[in-house]
Amino acid sequence: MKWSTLAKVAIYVFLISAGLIFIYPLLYIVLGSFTTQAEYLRTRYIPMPGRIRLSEYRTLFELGGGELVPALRVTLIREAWFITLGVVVSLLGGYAFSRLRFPGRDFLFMVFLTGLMVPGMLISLPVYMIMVHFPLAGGNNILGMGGEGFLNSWGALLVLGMIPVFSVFLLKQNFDMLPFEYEEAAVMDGAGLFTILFRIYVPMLKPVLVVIIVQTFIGTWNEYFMPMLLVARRADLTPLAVALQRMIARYAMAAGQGVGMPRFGLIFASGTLMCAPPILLYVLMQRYFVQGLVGIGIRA
Amino acid sequence: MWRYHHRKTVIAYAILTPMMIYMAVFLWLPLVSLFALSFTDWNIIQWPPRFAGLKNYARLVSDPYYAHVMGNTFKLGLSVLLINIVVGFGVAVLLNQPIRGRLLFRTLWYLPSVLSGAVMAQVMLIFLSGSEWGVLNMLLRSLFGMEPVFWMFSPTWMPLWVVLYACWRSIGWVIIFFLAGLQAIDPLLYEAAKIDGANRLQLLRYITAPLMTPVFIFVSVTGLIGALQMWEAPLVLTRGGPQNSTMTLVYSMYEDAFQNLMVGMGTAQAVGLLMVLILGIGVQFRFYKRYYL
Repeated sequence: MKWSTLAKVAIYVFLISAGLIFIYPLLYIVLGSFTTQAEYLRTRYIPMPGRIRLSEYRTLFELGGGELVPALRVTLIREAWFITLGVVVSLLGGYAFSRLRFPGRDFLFMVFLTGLMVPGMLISLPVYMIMVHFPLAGGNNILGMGGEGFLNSWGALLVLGMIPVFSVFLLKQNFDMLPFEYEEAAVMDGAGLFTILFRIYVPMLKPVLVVIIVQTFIGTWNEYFMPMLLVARRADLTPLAVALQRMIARYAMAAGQGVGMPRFGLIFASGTLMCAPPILLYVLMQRYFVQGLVGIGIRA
Repeated sequence: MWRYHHRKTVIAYAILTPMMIYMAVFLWLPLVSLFALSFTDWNIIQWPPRFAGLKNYARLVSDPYYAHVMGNTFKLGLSVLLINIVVGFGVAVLLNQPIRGRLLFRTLWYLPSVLSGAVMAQVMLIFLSGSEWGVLNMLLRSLFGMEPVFWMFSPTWMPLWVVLYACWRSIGWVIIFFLAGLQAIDPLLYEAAKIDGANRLQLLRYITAPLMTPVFIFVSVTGLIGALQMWEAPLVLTRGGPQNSTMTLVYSMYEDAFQNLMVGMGTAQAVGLLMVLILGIGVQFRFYKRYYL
């Protein structure tokens, strides 16, 4: 569509201003994390740090390091676990649903997809109960009674989400689009399942795998609800999102009780820390995003 | 011999059986439990749960509190959806024009969706605080010289902020879907229409709108289902809001089940939401059949 230059300028102006307004809270938080308390209080429309300084971040780690560092460790362990598991499971599952012909395949796939339709929040209570009364876990007998089950343990953090339904679906779609020839040639040379998968298909699937890895990372990094429910009582098992939310709540609320103003820099710094990895990864992943999701199309 | 001939089946079942067992334990069993527990009045403490028939459901429809919860959820959810669709479509249309930096804008609008909803909602506390150092108050004072307002205590304003927060978090994918739909429209159609003398408004009305209908339906239904599950701000920031003004179904489920120990009511609400979800998926399916087959 041909637009006059005036119209084009108008579009740019509109998009840029709308974009700025939209991103304003995020900008505010990041800029605010670089200001000292005094600088921040002079803010009129947006925090203007004199220079980029990390003093607030340092204080954050000094004051809250005892909580933050373990929380970071917990989250990173979870990341390693879920990313590895996610890639392996979705490769195997996607391959099985796509490349292996077996009775009941289509039906099983549809049943499997129900996993995409049920929101996690809805089943949170039953899942909680199952975790607490899981047989032979955390002091439970075979009927699941007596102990705490997976509550307040590593099990709670690692057991839920082992089967990434969306990743399996995505990979299955991608497998469907790949040519058979390479696999056939390899089988004729005597390749087994894992050889086929890892030496032939993985290189072809790099974009999708990048998408899956980044999505898994972001999802695990931000995960709040189930960990919050299941690890309520052990500070050394709290993932980052839960720990930071509680920290910010403490710093911000303390002010309300008449103890004065909260240290804004600390709150903004923790917010920025929380946002930075997902944003960075997402931006870096943009290249692969379209390639990886082509297998779905608008009709999914 | 059998194993050789049925190699693929064996491998497939070897891979899929553990997966299905996992899903049975952590997805289907919970679903069934939801239904089962909604017919009890369990309080987590005493075992076994006591059967209570349809008492919970009866209470869902008769108790004014639950009527409010559901009504409020719809009100907030529909508001989020409407804003997302209107603003989202507008932005998508603009982004579909021949301009530079489309990827930058697309990334930008999706950015709030990759953040941690709970942590951001907590930071919102600073934004909406009623003190003079609350971000919104400082901004309003700089702009208009307004006195500080106690947003967090206002049952008229908090729902608005909660809705806007939910929009901020979810408009990203709406824009992406609209953009994808717009870009799927063959530009030749526009060319042909312009040759016939159509102006921009007519292009929008006779080409864009009809071809975008499937996308609109998809975004509306999926978006509504998502918006009805709003929980981040109500849980972390407002706890149901000043005088229940930001109460949502999912938060109420959480409160009933985990804090009030009324598991029956919590699960009954979950089942209700599940019904809405199934309805939504059914609508999609019906529509899918009509438009694509």
